[in-house]
Formats: sequence, C-alpha cells, structure tokens
Amino acid sequence: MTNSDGSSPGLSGAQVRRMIQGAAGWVALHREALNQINVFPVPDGDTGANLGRTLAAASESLDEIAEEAPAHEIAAAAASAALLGGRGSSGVIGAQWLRGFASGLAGDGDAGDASLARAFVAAADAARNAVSEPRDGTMISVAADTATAVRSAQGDPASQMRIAVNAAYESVEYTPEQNPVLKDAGVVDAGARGLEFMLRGMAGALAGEPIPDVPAELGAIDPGWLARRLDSGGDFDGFCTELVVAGVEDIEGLREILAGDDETVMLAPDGDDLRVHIHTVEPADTYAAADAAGRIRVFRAVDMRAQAARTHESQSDPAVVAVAQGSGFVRVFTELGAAAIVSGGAADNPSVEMLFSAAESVKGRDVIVLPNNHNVTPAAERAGELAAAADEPQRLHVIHNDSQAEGVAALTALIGGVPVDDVVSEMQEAMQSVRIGRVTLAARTLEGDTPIAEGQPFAMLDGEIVGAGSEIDEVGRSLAERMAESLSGASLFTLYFGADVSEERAEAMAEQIESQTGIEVDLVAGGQPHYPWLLALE
Amino acid sequence: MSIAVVTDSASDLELGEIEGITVVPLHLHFGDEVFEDGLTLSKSDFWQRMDRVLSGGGVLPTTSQPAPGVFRDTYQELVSSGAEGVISVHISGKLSGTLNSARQGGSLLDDPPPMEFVDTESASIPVGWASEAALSAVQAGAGLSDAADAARESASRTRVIMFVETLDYLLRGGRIGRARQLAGKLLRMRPLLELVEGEVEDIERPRTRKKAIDRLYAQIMSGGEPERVAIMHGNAETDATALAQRVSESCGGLDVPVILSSPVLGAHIGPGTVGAAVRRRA
Repeated sequence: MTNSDGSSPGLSGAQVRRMIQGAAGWVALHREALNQINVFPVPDGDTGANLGRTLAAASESLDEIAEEAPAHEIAAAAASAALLGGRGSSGVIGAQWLRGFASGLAGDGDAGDASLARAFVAAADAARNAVSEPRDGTMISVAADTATAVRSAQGDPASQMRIAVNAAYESVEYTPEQNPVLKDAGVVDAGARGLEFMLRGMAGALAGEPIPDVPAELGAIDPGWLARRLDSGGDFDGFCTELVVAGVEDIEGLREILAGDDETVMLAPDGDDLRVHIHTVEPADTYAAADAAGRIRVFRAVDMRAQAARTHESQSDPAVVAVAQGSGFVRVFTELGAAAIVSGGAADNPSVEMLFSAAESVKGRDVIVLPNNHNVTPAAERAGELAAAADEPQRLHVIHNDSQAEGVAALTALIGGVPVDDVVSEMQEAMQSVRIGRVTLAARTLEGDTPIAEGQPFAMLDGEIVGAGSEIDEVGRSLAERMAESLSGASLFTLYFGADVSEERAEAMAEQIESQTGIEVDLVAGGQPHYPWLLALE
Repeated sequence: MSIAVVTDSASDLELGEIEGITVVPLHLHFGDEVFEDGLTLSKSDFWQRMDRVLSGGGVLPTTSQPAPGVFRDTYQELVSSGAEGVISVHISGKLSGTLNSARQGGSLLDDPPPMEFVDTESASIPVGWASEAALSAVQAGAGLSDAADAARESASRTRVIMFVETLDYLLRGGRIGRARQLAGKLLRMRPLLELVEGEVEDIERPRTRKKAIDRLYAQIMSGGEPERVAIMHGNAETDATALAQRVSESCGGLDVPVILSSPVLGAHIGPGTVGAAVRRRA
C-alpha cells in the first residue's frame, strides 16, 4: 500500500510507542551479549549496558505521554529522554538516531505525513553528526546503509521495517571488513549490532511479534586478542569522558578545541545543555575547555585502560574514584592514578547516581571513593549501598575527608599488590600526616570572638577558623606561617592556587612563603573555585 | 677446573675489592673528558665534581659501556694466567650495552674457554652480590654452569629499590623505563623506584624525603627479615647511614654497609638518591 505521493502511509502514535518499547526490549535482552563483543574503540564491555540504559530511559518516558499522542510526538519524547539518559558512545549515537528518526516522522511541518523513509534518512544524518570523525564499520555506517535501503523500498511500514532489518544485518556482518580491529578480535561491531537489534525490536513490534525469550548467540572475542592488545599498549590510553555543560554559546568553537588531537568527540545539544562525550588522554584539558565555554553541570571521566584491565582480567587492586573541582585537580588526580573522576565539591554535590555509575564503570570488587568534601560524603555512602546491592556487587570504601588537598595526600599513598583495607589505612594515615589550610571569602557574616564580615577573607586550618584580614594574600601568608609553626619537621608545602589567581601572583606567593618559612613550596595550579589558596603541609 | 669471575663497575664493587673478581670499568664522560669508572676517577672525586657542575654550571656526565676489546683482553689475560673457564656477571642488558660488549669480547678470543654470561636484570650492589655468589660456588668446587646459576639465583632473590630527588638524571640518560609516566607530572615527588626485570619501575610516590625514607624502610622490611641488606646513596651519607642503622636494629644487628654509588650509576640517579639492595632468604 502506497500513498498517492509515493511515501508510505503514516504510523500511528500507538505503533511508534510499541516500536520504541520493542527496541528497548530487544537491546535489554542482548545487554550482556553486546557487552561481551565490545572491542572498539575500546574493549570496555559496556555497549549493551549503555545502549540498553539509553533505550530504557526512552521507553520509560512514554508512560508520561498521553495515549493518543501522534507518532512524531511519541518519537520526540522518546528521543528527548534518550538524550538525557544517553550513556557511552553507543547510547549517545542511539539517542541521536532516535532524535533524527523523530524529526523525520514529524515531517517538514506538513501535518499527517509520517514517512518512514524520511525518518530513516534523518536518523542516519543525526547519528553521523553526533560524531566528529564518523567511521565505517560502526553504528554510523549501519544507519546509513539502512537509510539507503529503506529509501528505495516500496510497501507498508511493516515491510519497510523488514527491509531495514535485513539491510542492517548485512551492514553489521560487513563491519569486520571495514575495521581491522574487529576482524582481529573475531567479532562484529557491538554498537552496530545494537542498532540492528533496535530495528529488530521495532520491526517485531510493528508486526505484532513478541520479543524472544532467549537472546541470540553473538559469539565472543578471540581470547588471545585482549592480551595481545594490552601487551602492545594498543589504543586504550585515555579517559572516556562525559560532560553536561550549561550555557555554551559557541558549540562549534568548543568542538574544535576538543577535537584537536584526533580524539573521538561527540557533542549533542539538549535544550540549554550541551552533552559532550570524548575519549581523551587529558581529561583535565577537556574540563578546562568546558569550564571556559560554559558551566560544567556534570563531568565524569573513566580511565579506559583500567576499565579494560578490570573487565577482562582478574585485576584485583582497588580502583579510585575521586571527586574533583577545577581542571588542575582533575589533572593531579588522574596523574596519581585515580581510575575515575566525578566533578563536584563545595556547593556542587555530585548525584548518588553519578558516583554509583562511576564506580560501576571502573568495575572490580573494591572501589575507593575520595569525596574530598564533607557534603559529598553522604552521596558517596548512599552510592556504596546501591553498589553493594547491584547485580555485580561492589564494595565502595568511602574515605572521609573534606578537601581536595587531603584527597591528593591520600592518593599519593595508593600502592598496588596489598589488600584493600591496607590501602585504605595507608591513605587515612597519609591524610593525617598532612595539615590543610585554606583561604576563602566569607559568604555571610560570621559571628564569634572575632566576627568576620561578609566578603572578608579568612583562613581555616584543619577546619577551624584561625584568622581573618583585609587582604587575601596577606591572610594566606599568615596562615602559612601558622601552619609551619604548628608542624615541626615539616618539609613541603603544596600551594594550590584557585581559578581566580594568576600564575604570576601565585609564583610571588610561593616565593614569599618559601622565604618566610624556609620550607620548600610546590606550586600547583588547582583551578579550584571558592578557595584562592589551598595549602597542604607535610 | 679453574674458573675466573668477571663483572663490571656497575656492580658497585670497587676494582680489586674482592680477590678473585675482576671488575671491568665502564666509561664516564664529562664533555670531552673520558674516565674509567673507579680507575681514573674515584667515587669521591666524582661526587665532588658533580657538586661543582651543579653549583657552577658545566656539563653533566654521560656513561658508556666498555669496548668489546677490553673484555677480550681481560678474558685473555685470565686465560693466560690459568683460567679454564670464565663467568661474566653484568648489569641488566636493558640498562646498558655492557653485557653485549662482554659477549662480543668473548667471541673475539682466538681460543675461547668455556664461558657463561649472566644478565642479573639488575644494577649496583645486586650485581656485586651475584658475582660473589659465583665466586663462592667456584671456591666450593662448583662447575661452570652451576656457579653461573648461583649468580643468577642470588640476583633473583635480590631487590634493588631507591628513591631519587629528581627524575631528571634518569630521563637524561634514557634509563627511565616504565617510570617514564612520572615525568612532567604536576606534583613534586621523590618516587620510589625498583628495578623489575631489568627495567626501572615506579612503585610508590612519596613527596617528601622523610616519607620517601620511611617507605624505603618499609619496602626493605616487607616480606620477612632479609638475609642481606646494603644501603647505597648518591652523596646523601647522613640519610643513608641513619637508614642503615634503623634496618640493622630491626634485623637483630645485621651488618648493613653503606655504599657511595659508583660514578657510572651516580650519573644516572643523581645526588640525593638513597637506595637499598635487599636479598631474601633462599
């Protein structure tokens, strides 16, 4: 059956709803199977989980949409939810595919004509635009091949969907020819297979077929492959980094900065927010660029090498998740071996979900969490409860601390090859051997023996107010002297300067403290907000 | 069978220190000036010279392996004085071309005796101890391959761990191995390094000297009471002596010698370094 203008007849809202649910169901059924064949770009074993979670978000969001809503509205609601819940590369591309699909269904503003062909073409375009450097042999090429097949297909939506599924299957089977990494590992692209399963779910729903009870056999990675890749160093290096940045005006400018070094970068506008997904060896640079371009609402970076080692090997050393604020601290924590960084701190608590998912991403039985702010601790503890009850239970060891400088001290004590409890106690001991001083401006008037006016700089030593003054740097210098007097035998100050302090001013400060106290000063650009000066003495 | 034991100056054995072990010097270059390690430049002269370079400018030293011909001549001399076999025990082939030079030297002999070459996969004191183990085995009547195995066995039980004030020297000399990742880091560190399978690896990242010494002590004591410990240092005698005493007290008065690093090793680790060789019980 064909409309007079040659397009296929419209889909009803109810049909699209079932198609989205079918897609989510198919991918959920194959979650583990897809995880197992995930080798590209990094074998982090999360394609099924990420795509599954994204589609689950899309499907669940439809409960809120009126039963009689038209097809394009249903699709748009699903796409919007998928964009919000999009996880990992496959999730982001899948969400963008849905967004394009929805816009195609909506037509060019003409009412009523919901052409599947146009939806597939728009979906392929949107998926392609989600990636800075589209590669063949991935979800992108499957989306393109599918669109080509559907565009030239005749028939009703159900038969068009069957054609789409067949085209997707062939495209997926061809991926090892397009990408030698897949061929070497003896698998097809996991994301590509995931998209095919989305389509199978959609086609099945439209034809009124139930979702199968048993997942299809997808095979497995050649067992020798991972060892070969780990040995060769491979292209695992780097952090899978995801951000939500608010208020970015120059999206293309940010894309250019981030895509600088041939890295995988995806940017997806989502209302006022910009979602960013990038694989980079320097997540701190990504943080700094995003921080300059807008306001970072969410930042999460996971070390892919650590993730791969802990997914496929019996790596038993605990991983560390550190909560950081400021690009300098992101850099320090990654340099010291944190496997994941989550943004947050004073006045910007990370969500329980964010901490839980960071721990889940780094895998492994034991994960040490450095909240680095007492306000973050409860969320970390709650994430620990969730992790303990998860399908793959994890033990989160939450270190109680109240400053990023303490977090650094703890991380320097991270050693491999010893039981996790020993690592934790070494970290606690390391924090206790360090005195922490900070200078900040009073957010409100503070009563006390010596009242501090709103906006006045004051100093804290290990959490106690120890002085105030009229000038920030002067308060900092007195604080340093006081710290030096309070810890005999100390030999190293680490002076972290904040986001609003220039390097010259910081260098002058370091010199003054060194000459005043006779103690070596290690000057570090912390980039932290709220505290122009953060001092650690050990 | 009379068997001779040969090593190189990266063993931290001084020339003629132990009768029966011939030490072949590596070369040390200060610009165009070439010295034979420990022969034409003593340890104390070297460290004084380093001080002068660091305070007054000038070229930092580089090192090079002994020429194959030097090994050939050394082996030839030993054969001429009655050796019927030679065991040559050396610094890790991943850190120096010395072992390779020694093998080539052996192949240059007109009428080579049976020879065994031992890659200790280590440097400094453990190489010396491995040489001593070979000598003791020979003196106890072991054959060539058994005596060489005794050297390998000693090396396999011996760790060498140290912390450096700065990674600059290891970086300059290109001997940084897997600790490379520490270079250019934001934080000041005195990393604890270990030679693992012949390469430098960082094992801990203390930031102050005091912490570094405490962690070095903890590493020395980990894994049960050691059979043998020596402390070596790059012109940091006070810290080294204090550490030796602390280890000795914890090990029932064990004799813990303090050894100033030889020039060739000193050129790669730099001043301020304190390290330890630790041999576990068999």
